[in-house]
Amino acid sequence: MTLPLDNHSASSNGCSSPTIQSNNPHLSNGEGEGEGSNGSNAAAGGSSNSSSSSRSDSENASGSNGLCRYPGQPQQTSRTCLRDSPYSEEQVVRLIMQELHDRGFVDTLNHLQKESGFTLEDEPTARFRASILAGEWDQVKDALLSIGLSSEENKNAALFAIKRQQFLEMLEERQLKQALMILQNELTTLTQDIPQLHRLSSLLMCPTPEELRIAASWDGSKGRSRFQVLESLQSYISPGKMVPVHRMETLFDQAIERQCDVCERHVISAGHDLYSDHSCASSVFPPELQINLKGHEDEVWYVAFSPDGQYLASASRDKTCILWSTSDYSIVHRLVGHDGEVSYLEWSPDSSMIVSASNDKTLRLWDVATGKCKNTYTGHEETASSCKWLDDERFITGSLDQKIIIWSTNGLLVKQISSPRVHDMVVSVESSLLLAADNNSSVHVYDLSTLTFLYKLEEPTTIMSLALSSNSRYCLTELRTGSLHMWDLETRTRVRDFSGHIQGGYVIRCTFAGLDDRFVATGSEDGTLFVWSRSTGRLLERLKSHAKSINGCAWSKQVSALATASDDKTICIWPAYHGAPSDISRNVAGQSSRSETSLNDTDDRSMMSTV
Amino acid sequence: MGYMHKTFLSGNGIYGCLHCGTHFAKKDKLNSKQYNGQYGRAYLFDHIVNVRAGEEEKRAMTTGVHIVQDITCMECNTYVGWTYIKAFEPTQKFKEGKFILEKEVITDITRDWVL
Repeated sequence: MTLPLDNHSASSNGCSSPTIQSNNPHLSNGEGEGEGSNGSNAAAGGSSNSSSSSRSDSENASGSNGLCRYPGQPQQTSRTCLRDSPYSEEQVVRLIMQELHDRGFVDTLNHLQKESGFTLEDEPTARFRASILAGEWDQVKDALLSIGLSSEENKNAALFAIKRQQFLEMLEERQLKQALMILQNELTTLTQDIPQLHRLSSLLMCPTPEELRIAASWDGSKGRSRFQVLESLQSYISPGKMVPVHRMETLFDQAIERQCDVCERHVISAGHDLYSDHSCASSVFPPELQINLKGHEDEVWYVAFSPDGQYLASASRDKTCILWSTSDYSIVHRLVGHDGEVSYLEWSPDSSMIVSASNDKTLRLWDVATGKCKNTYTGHEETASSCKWLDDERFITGSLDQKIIIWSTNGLLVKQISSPRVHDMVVSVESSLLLAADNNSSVHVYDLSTLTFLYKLEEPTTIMSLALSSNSRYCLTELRTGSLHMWDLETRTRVRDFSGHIQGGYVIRCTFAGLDDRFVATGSEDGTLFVWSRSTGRLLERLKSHAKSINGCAWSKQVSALATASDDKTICIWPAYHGAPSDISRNVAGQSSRSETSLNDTDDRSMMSTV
Repeated sequence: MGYMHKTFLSGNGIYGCLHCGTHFAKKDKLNSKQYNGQYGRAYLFDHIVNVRAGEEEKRAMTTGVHIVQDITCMECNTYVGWTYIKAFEPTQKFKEGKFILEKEVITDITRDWVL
């Protein structure tokens, strides 16, 4: 229900009404009104307080551009605004009205309109909205013109959208002759987009309404298409006339997104709580070591969680790999068979197989369920330095022998190309990219499907390892000089550096961690785990976990924990916090009780100690 | 002591492990050929790669007492020589930080090995 309005002359979008405050700096109970409110013709929300009379004088004095009041409207009852606000009262009230309208509070809406003097939509806009939703196409054009649009092209674009909807609806009802007339007489004059016109004319061929809907990706006059047309027209009509749909919720979304962005230690996703700001725990990981896994007889060189989060696999200098269950960290299988130290392993995407690379120059494919070796792959003349799965059947390996080879799970060599001596490789199947760090301090980027070289990223010194973020946009390089560089692959520039850890000549793996890859983690030769914030580069945590150098680290989303592998033959697990710092003790207690029960179950050499 | 990538030297004149072909040193880093080890002739190099050092021990040699570390090939763990940590004779100080490779266990890669 809208109050009748007059005086559309002030509504042309070009002019902006001068702020009343600038004319009258002594407003008491400052209303904060009239701050450039888009030249819309809402009435000034009169509030009679002591200054209202002076204000009405200035209104009359400010001429035709001022906010106009309704003639003959009774003076508003006194309304005291409790608080100064920089936001225009009209805008705030109309947003509230929109929410009330969307949620169905009709009585409140009417009362609010009366009380404030604003309306959600003026008469022409309401008429326009009603005629589109009812499909009364003759009235739509007049209604649109009476609203007024900012420019000629916008008018044509808006009319085109409307006429297109009309065209499609006529086709749906099989009124082909009329549809053709619209196409010829009106649509062609309204746009320059010839391919679009051809597409529309081809729709005349559709035999049934079903096909028409599929061909035009249009859900019919009974569906949401009319709403969608209205929403698309929003952009041509000034927001002051027709408030953008669910505007308040859009603002809420933006606010929450901003709170998440500034949350440095983001480990839990923000809910939709409007009462309090989102914030994660004050510390990402518990300060003391929680779980320590013993089981290897020599240095542990690599760890990786399975993609489904059920297992943790570790590769060691004792020539074996061990599979640990992530629920109680007991040993599930020992993968024995290599003749040389195992330096690398990789899980298949479906978590059913593991490929391990060893210093005996072979790779072995293991079945996770049984722990047996399915295949042995010979062909590299040097240790395979890295191996990544392309899908559930094939994996690609890079080595210092200048070959990159694609193998299949049935034991065959699929493809081989010559390459630089590869120190480490990362693969993104979605973006079809292969990044290989060579021994001359550059990263070669290949297209994954054709294995053709695309470009190079140059580093100052030798690269020891690589990591890729889960959205395949950021790549980390770990350098021999003890710093990590983060590259943005879309712009091919280095965007951030992280440093502080100790690096000698040994290979230390780095990884992204946390929700949305918020953190960057790597080990250090003094046995400390370093965690930085990815967005700010600030060092967040230094977790002392091992007596000797940390060789590898891995993060799992499902387990929500970091695992580190060290020269001291053990693996440490660092679970991330979920919630407020008071939850720490609960998490810790939960895990230590778990560890106690499983100690009795296994007669394995795996021990768990909580420190 | 952690996992290390093997270093590959480039160019002509590379000495490497007789057993497995791992690169050790370039010919231009050769300092002197006038040394003797357990197996006979040995060469002194300024800088080598791909070796692992063992325990430090005090050893009496023809030129005096030194603290040395035996070095082994990173790949196949064969003994290849030693490195001088400290020399007690002032005239022998120049050896500190340099490496000895025994002639018997190394080979000229570019001539003997086709990689």
